[in-house]
Amino acid sequence: MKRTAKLISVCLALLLVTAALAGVLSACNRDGKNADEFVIGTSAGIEHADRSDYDFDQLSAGLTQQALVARNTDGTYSPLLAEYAVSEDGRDYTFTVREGMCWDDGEPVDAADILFTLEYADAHDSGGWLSSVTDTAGETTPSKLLSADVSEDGGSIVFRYREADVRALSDLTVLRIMPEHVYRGKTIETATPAENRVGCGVYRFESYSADAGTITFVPNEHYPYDGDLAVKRVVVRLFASDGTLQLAMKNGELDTIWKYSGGVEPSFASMLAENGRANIIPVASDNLPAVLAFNTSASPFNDADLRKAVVYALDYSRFASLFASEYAETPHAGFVPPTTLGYTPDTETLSRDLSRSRTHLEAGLARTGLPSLSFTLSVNADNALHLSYARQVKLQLEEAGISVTIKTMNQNDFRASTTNSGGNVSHQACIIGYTANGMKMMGGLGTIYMDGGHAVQGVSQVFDAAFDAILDRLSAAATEEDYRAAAKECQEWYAANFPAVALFWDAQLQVLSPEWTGAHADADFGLINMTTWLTLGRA
Amino acid sequence: MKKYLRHILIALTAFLAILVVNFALPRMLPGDPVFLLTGFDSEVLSQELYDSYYTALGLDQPLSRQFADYLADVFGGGLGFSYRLNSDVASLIGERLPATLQIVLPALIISTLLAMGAGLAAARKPRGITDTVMTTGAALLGAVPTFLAGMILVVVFSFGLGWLPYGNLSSPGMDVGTIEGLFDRIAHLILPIATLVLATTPPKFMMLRASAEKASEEKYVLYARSRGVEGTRLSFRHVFPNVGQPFLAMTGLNFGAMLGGSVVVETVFSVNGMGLLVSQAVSDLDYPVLQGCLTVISAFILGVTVLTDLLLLLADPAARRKNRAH
Repeated sequence: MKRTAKLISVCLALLLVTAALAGVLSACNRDGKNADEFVIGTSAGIEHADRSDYDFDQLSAGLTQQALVARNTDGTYSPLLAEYAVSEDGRDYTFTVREGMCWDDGEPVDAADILFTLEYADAHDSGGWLSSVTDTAGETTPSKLLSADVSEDGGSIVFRYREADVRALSDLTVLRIMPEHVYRGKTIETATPAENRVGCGVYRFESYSADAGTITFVPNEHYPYDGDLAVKRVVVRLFASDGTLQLAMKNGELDTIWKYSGGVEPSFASMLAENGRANIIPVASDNLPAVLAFNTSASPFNDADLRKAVVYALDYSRFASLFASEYAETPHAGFVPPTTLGYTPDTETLSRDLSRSRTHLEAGLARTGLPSLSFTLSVNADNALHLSYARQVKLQLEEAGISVTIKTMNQNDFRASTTNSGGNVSHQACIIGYTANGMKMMGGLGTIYMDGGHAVQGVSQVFDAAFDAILDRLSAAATEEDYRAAAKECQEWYAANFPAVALFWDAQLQVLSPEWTGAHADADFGLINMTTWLTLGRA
Repeated sequence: MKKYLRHILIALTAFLAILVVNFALPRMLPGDPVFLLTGFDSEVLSQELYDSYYTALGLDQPLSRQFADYLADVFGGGLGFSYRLNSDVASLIGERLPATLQIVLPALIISTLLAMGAGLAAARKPRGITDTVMTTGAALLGAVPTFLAGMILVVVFSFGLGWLPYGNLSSPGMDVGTIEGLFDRIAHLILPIATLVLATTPPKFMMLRASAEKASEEKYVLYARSRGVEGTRLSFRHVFPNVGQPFLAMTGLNFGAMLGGSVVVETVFSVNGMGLLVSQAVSDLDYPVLQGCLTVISAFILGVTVLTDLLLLLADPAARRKNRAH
């Protein structure tokens, strides 16, 4: 009897274990994709999926939020939330909200929302649209606009600029319009998560699960689109490790990878292309991922010949072959990449010329009285790629008889010693990357990174009357011709003085699963943008 | 018992020392404590914001007052405030700790049982086939970094065989309160737990095997053998009670290592736990979060150590006899 009871207990236990095992096995691998789902993988550290989270805010720019206009990769602009018209003198921009545009809570989008967004940016983000901005040094920059007038019917708004601004549309591509009815009397920090998720894009926020590591978006039923969207649900999968993210893409679990203001690494893109898991879409961009910047106000690089000795000792094709994609180009002495407004191809293409380097080195050493050229190269230790660039710079320069000591620093110390924000620019030279937004700021062409008087940047510490005059001409340019002329002067000045050199120019590599076709590349937001959702289809 | 009370006192002193170091570090490190304690750098902080943080952090108060406020915050359960994540650190840890414990506790139990079973089995016949295979395996496993072990498991079981999910704690839309949700959670936990088990079992196995081998030559074991006691019964009834004390002590300490290991495991498997919070705080230089996590992890480790001491006391035959005599 006892034996039978024991047998029955063992059988029951086995049955229980088998049932549990079957349950677990049936639960395994339930994370597969549905046919009408588009899965985006990202390793951005999204903590709470609403606009108060910086990374979510950037991601939702291509899903649930809209700016007034979008910039295409050929440098032209397309209406997004509003149609626009420019007056003949280039000072008045009229924006008319496109027919039927609604917030995803059902409220219509109107010009008052646009005005509210300008006021909000002025009050909370030093926008400088309608109010002047005073920096920490006490210098005041007048507002960009003299006025912003909403039409009587509430459908249009006219921006009246202080002076014609050829880069006005460029500034507006990143200004996402906010719903006044949600944020009136509140800020993004004080609004509830639900309020911070209200948008007017093609999709609307559906859910966020920290346990599942997913954010889902579904079509915004209020978006004025008559067609049938191919993607019925956008699932954003959050990864903590780039390694797992890449494996997931490589194994066909993802349709694309999202990274703010960047693409995937060239070596990974090539691997995906080789195994047929993704099509590579190069997106021309204004950013410079690899820059060697000199401190032109301190020894030894306050001497132009010594800067040139370094510039001509570097092997730019080697940098491109080691670190860049197949779409990379050898940089020019004019510094800015070809997608930049006002770019001129007329400056010299950089190449290694050791005899030229030696001539400049000898001239520089004779003038400065230094026995040899040796300098410290500062690098942000958190950026592994920049460390690799620094090692390659050291290797190449030492072949030319220039001694380099690499100084690795944490991000805070690096910023403090290379930019004016720290109050004491102490580097001699550094490896740094310049963002597309930074390259566009103030007069554009990366001038904020050169100008020693800039309140925040000023990496190259340029204090030069001729350069200041060019800056004035860039700011005062009323027409595109004026701007292009000033931009050409600026690049020629860069080519003659070398405050910094780009180690290579490269495109941002976006990847898309071969299961999809029709993605649109946007110069600011990559593949994740409003047009993509309207044109995307199954391959 | 006196010894045990002394251990509790030492643990409390250690905890206090940790709190002092935690408080002093951001104030002693080179750089501005406002930037360290907020995690922001000078580029994003206006003078106005800087001043408001300076006051909010109490940096305008005397050091003794700052320390008193800090202690009040720790013992009041706040654990500081993360300006970067705009949340008090206790809530952040409270949200993340359950996910970490879902991995660490089962891993601790499984690795302890595995090490116990394997260690005793290997010691039964030293340098036999079982012992050689297990010891070599443990030595190899011990040499594999946790990150690599996790990635190998993901590559084989998730992307290769497609048997198990490659990350997170559940499938989208799954309610863990249902039976289906529970099975789904278990399926998601298998690989992270397995990784932590692989990383923490070898040292425990090695230690128990060596102690058990030594014990198997003791007279009480030989006597048991002469009475015909062999195999599992001999190992668990006669060998383990006499070598279990250091093993238990090691298991207690192992808990701390597992919490540390969860940083890697949660990163590989994208689990939104405390390990990932620590990892993000390190890269964001979010010092208040790091301080809070360090406090909680230290409290856990010291708590487990004290508890292990108590278990050792209860398991110690000499101490038991002494208590009975009293």
